[in-house]
Amino acid sequence: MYMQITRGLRPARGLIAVAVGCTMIVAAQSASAQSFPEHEITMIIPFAAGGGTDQAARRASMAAEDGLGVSIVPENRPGGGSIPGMMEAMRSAPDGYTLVTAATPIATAQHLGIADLSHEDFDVVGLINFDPPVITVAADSELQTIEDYVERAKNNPGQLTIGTTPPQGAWHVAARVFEEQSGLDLNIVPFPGGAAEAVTSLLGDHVESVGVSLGEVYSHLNAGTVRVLAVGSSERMAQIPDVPTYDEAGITTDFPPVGAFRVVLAPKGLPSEELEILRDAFFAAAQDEEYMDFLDEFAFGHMALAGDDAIAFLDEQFELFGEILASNE
Amino acid sequence: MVSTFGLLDGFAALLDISVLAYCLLGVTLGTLIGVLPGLGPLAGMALLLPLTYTLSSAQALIMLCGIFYGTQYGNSISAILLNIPGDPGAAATTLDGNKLAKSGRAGTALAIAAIASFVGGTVGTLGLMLFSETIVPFALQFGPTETLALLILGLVLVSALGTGSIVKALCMATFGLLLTIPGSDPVSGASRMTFGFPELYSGLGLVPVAMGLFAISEVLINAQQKMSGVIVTKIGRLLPTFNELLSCIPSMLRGTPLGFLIGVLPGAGSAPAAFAAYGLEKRFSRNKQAIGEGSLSGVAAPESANNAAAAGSLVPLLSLGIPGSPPAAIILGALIIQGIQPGPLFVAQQPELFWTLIASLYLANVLLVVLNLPLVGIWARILMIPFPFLAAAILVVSVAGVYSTNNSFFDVWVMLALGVAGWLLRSGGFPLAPILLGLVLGGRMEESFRQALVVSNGNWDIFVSKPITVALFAITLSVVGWSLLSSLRNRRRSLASIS
Repeated sequence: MYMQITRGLRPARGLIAVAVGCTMIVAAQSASAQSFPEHEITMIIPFAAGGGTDQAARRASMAAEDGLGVSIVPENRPGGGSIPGMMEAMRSAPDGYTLVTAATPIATAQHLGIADLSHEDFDVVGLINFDPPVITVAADSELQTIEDYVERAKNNPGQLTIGTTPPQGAWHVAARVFEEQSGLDLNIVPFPGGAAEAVTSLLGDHVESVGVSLGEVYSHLNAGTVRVLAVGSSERMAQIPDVPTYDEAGITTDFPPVGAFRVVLAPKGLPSEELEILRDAFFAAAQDEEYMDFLDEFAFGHMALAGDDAIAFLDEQFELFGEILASNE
Repeated sequence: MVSTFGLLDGFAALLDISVLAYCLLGVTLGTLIGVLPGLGPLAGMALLLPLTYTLSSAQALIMLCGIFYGTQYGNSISAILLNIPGDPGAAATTLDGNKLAKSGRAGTALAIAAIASFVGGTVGTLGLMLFSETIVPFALQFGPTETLALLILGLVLVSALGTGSIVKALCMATFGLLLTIPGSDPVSGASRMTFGFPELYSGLGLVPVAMGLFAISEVLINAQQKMSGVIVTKIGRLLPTFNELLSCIPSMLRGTPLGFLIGVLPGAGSAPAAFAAYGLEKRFSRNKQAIGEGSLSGVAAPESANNAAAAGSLVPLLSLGIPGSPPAAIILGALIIQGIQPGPLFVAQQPELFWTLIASLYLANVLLVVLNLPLVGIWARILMIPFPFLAAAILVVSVAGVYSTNNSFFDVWVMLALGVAGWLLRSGGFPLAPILLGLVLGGRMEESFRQALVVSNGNWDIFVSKPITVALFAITLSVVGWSLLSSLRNRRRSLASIS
């Protein structure tokens, strides 16, 4: 499979360049003119092999190899809520040959006192994915629409349960933002085992709803055992075209969309030319056709942001997470 | 579920020599990984996962499951011979297995472990094939309160692990529970007693703690006693007699269903299954007095349970796409890498893959028992290696194994620190298995307890309002009451015989 994809990509190089536009061509040209990168690049993945971030990082790296002309070697460094892996990358030489794919803990670690670490300690290469939350109930729930849901929550403040990750992950804050936006008081239940555990609990009727990524509930949605009521992004998702966004459901949006994201970072102090080469390569990778097909198949959300756009996004998420987590006390 | 593709087609698919070869490769690698202290199914499968990227989905799945099953066989070997579980799932096997080895019955214990593993693995696979659909709705009933009640029952069943002082055993179980405090608060997510080490944020790892307590302390104890010779000079008989085998069958028949059911429950895994089976044996076996003194039943029960639990943990994975244990999560990852999204529709959409996998699991068990029984004599000869050489090998392999799981040297320090602690505790006559038990059950107990109270908004009624929870608490109370009664009766009887 791995080999097939790599083989399949090489001949498609020209096509992708056309599809993506001149960014890619410029990147390819400058890559050939520059001395960077001269040898393979290590991509630290601070999560276990086989998980969502691992998948996204490996697929994006495969796509980026094309623009860079060298291979990117993934190295899993799991444990410690992804903090040790990120710190290892942070302390590596800023030569562009060590990168890390970070996830939501980069925006929560400092606020929760886990580690004094944020995206400002890195040079930001680019966002490769963003998953908005989907409010999901069991298929046999009497809550048919998001209006039913809001109605129930309004009449029973603090009672309607919504399963999420604990606060270091994205879904607790996403549920808190949903509360703030809708003016509801929900009962947010954290699952330290992660979103999959929350979904298991939903199937067993121990919580009445979950607020996690579409990918986590997608196979159950296809099997008809769950129902998605609303999605917390600015536009509807292609896989669930009938499901309204928070906006459409009349839940006013004072906050930017909040959810889980994956971002490629480099140790701080990279020479600007090398940073640009990496940014271009991953910006193109995040829009690579095969990469986006992979995202669609497993219902991961699309997002490609490079450079200043990515930094602005991370600044926003970092502040938002801080605000919400501070209000938890 | 009507499917034109069934088990026989699955076996037919195995006739493909490449599929067969990957099954054999998986079980062989799994056995070797299992034998090595510190390298369990999780580390082994994670390390070898990249090898599967170039394989077909059937080959990848079959090889990984072969490794998974193989490690369950292998981890009992070092547990019996060296008192070092290859992985926490085999910690319960050390209790009786190592006593048997030291009394010259290593071969018999290894053979019984292999046979019990075969029974547990095969019957477990049968359960996976036949009862997935019926058992999943039952497993889903286990929410926070049910899980809590089950864990408390588990703790009660095994509270008298090993022999000797109950007070010491309880102290050690409490120590194990305390070891679950460093990490993250399960509700607020705040860092808790991590002392500035981000590595501690996900808590102390089970593997580094188990390897420290068992492997490192074993080396230290022997070094202290200036052990320079061999552990035993004579191997003794290798295969059990018919009567020995017969006497172990009830233990296997108890251990297998118990292990399978615990394995199905999300988040449990093989260590609690093996401990629970051992605890059940210690309370209800016909020759329960012998358990803990070097009884074959004390090997058969946990070994059948941890293999059945491995099969059980595949149930939620294959029927819901939910990994019930860390090794199952790696299999899930391998499937996703292959472009397959496991979920409730997996069996319906991929009948060919499902049945080939089931067939390969049966085959894996046969291969494993065929592979392991003749090797018993060779494994047993490990005891005839002078201990200094063994100690060096144990140290090197444990350090490498523990490092490789997370690529983290922090875990190695944890192992060494727990090794010294284990050595001191053993010198004081404290049993180590209850520590592991406290660590395995404690974190999950806290999570489910606090989760239940979040769900109920702090109302304690939630613990007495659900039928399964109430039933489990009632069983726990009757187990406690029954043992109190029987110990009172014993005391009265001994008092009567004195007067």
